[in-house]
Amino acid sequence: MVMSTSVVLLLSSLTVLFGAMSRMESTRPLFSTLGMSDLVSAPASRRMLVGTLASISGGMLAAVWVWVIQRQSIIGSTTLCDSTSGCAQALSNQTMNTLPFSNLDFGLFFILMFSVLGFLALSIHLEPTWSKAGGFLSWGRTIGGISTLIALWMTITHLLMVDDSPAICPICIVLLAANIVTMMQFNLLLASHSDGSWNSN
Amino acid sequence: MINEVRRNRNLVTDENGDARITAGFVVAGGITFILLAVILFTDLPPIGPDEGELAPNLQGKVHYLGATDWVDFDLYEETDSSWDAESDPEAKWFFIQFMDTDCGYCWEEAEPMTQLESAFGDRVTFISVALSLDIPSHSATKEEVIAFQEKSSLMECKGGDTDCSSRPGDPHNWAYFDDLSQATLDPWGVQGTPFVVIVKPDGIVAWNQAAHSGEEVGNALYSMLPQVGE
Repeated sequence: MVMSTSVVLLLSSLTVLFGAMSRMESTRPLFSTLGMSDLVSAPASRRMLVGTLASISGGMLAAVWVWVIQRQSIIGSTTLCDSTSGCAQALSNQTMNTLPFSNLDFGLFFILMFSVLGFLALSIHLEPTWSKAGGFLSWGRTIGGISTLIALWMTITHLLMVDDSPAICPICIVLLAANIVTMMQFNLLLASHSDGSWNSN
Repeated sequence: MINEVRRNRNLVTDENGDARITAGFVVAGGITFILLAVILFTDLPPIGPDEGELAPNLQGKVHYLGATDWVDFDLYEETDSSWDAESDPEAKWFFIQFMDTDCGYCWEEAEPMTQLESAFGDRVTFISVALSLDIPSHSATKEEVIAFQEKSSLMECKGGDTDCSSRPGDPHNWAYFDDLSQATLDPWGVQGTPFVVIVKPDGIVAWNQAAHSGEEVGNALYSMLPQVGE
């Protein structure tokens, strides 16, 4: 795999992993290391909100890279993947890498979805006590669910339908993982908001 | 008193608006930066039929001489975006002819096409894009395209009343691309048939017939091909 893609893969994987683990008690000291000391003793929901923003950022990074590879592949080749690698095989077929019933590239679609999710998560992060935070969390879960379904469809396409299938595209797998983590985080946050544990440690 | 109640009510109604506004600005700023960066980073040449532009893709089915089936074709899979004339002067160019089996001019052009292919076939990939123009008595079918290509007997060519086997030239031993649905008309700027575009191995349009009225296409092709062995 090309160096720059490997770096992006590593960065996005770590960010998504951090997002997935943010709820665990064992990660509390990590927030202090990252310069967020006030979150060490904050309620779990606040750490999860930061974790959700992290998984959204990781997903956004992966989505941007997928879109760049897709755009380069328009002219038949990309400088970001080896021609024989899974990512080139999976993403080089333009017609198979668009949203069903439209011509929207998968990469661009996920950038837009993560933008909306980012807005929802950031709004609540900035004002966790907002009376309508539950509504935003519910929207986040729904949009995250839709995005996850599309990411699953993309993965199935790469595994079964592209010319050189099965093609395993690592950056696309991270994209799928980011979608799942984000959806799960929104779901857990909504549950926490509903059962009254929103402000408890 | 009334003013104070109204002010309190406004505070409740306007609860935490700043958070959403800030989040909106942050996300909008971020996505604007990302979209601009991606578009600038993937600096694709403009796509179009004009010389110097990246030729629009031809993606669909083609028929080869003697074949029983139409097979998938993707022009961009045939091009090499990193091609360099000096290091690889023998790379194959593309001669793309837009034609209609019911068009009289295309009928007459069939023989010169045979001659061009025999002269340049080892250095140029010939592709005939078969259209069915919206003109009375022009109603080509896939069978008619095959009959035209192979010079086989079918009483449907040249307006529908001529035997395809009587067309000038030899059977055409290059790909015939099915565009009876006219999907290529707009992207390629096809105004009529026959119409020729010559494309370099890297997919960039080298010669567009619409910009060279009266110039003989064989001469144009000869003058553009890199000289090999010099």
